[in-house]
Amino acid sequence: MKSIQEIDDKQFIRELKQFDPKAQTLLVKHYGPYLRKIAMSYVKDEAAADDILQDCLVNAIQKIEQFSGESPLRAWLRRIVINTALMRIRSQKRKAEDFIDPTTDDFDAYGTRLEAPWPQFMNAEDLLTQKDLSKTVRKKIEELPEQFRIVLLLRDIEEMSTKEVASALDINEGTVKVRLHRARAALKQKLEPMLRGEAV
Amino acid sequence: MIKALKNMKAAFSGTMMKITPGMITCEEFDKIIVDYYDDNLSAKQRRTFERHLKICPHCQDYIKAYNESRKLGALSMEEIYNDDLPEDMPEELLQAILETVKEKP
Ligand SMILES: [Zn+2]
Repeated sequence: MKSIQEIDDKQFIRELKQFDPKAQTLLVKHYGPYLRKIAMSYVKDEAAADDILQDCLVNAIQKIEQFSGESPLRAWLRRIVINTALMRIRSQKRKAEDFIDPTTDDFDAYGTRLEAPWPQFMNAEDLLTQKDLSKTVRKKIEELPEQFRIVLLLRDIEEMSTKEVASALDINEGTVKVRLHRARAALKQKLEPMLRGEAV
Repeated sequence: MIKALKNMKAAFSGTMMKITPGMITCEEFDKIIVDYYDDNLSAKQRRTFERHLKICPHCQDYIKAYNESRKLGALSMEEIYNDDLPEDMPEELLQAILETVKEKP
C-alpha cells in the first residue's frame, strides 16, 4: 500500500477530476481511516462517524472540481470532514450530559489556587516516545463532554480563532473562551498522571 | 505542614493579593489565561498577569502543566496523520460510498 503522500500527486488529482472510479476507490481507501478518526473525535459514536465519513467522501468526490491544489488534498478533506461533523452536531438535540461542566480548577476562600505540588514535570515530546501513548491521550480528549471537547478541538487542534469557532458553533465569543479554558483545565487534570511521570 | 498553618498561609497570600494595588488573586488570574495566550489583553492587564505569575508558585506549576497538556493533546491528535499502519477501511463502508457516488453523479 502506498503512503498517503505518494498518492497525493497531480496525476491522481487529474484522475479524480475525471471521475475515474479507480482513483475514487484509492481516495476512499487511503484517506477513509484517517478521516474516520477525526470524525470520531468529534462525535465519539461509531455509527455517526461512519455517516459523517460517508457524507464527507461522497461530497469530496463529487465536488473535487473545487479542490484548487493550493493546500494538500488531506488538508482539504480534513476541513470537509470537520464541517460535516459540525453540521451534524448543530442539527442534533443536546443531550443533558453535554452540559456537565468539567471545571476542575480549585481555589480556597481567598482565591488562592489549590494546586498539588509538582516535584517533576515530564515533557510532551518525551512522553510521546512511549508506545500507544498518543492513543491514550486521544481517548482522554474524547472523554471530555461534547460542548467542551469540540471547542478544544477547533481552537487548539485546528487552530481556529475564537471568532471563527463562535460562528461555526453559533455561540458567542465569551462562551467559546470559557469553554476553551474549562476544556483545557479538564484535559490537564486527565493528563496529570502522565505529566507527573506517575502512570499512563 | 499542619493544616491550620497551611490555611493561615493561604489566607495571608490571598489577602495580600487582594489589597496590593495591581495584584490579582489566582482565581482572577485564571479568568484571563485564555486572553493572555491569545494576546488579547491590554498592556496593563498583561503586566498584571505576568506579575502574578512571577510571584505565585501555584500558578507557575499550573501554567506549566496547562501548557504542556495542551501540547501533548495537540501532538497526539496530529499523530493520526503519522500513523504508519492505518487500519483498513471497512469493506461495506467503502462499497456504500462508491455506490452513492455512482448514483448521484
Ligand atoms: Zn496564583
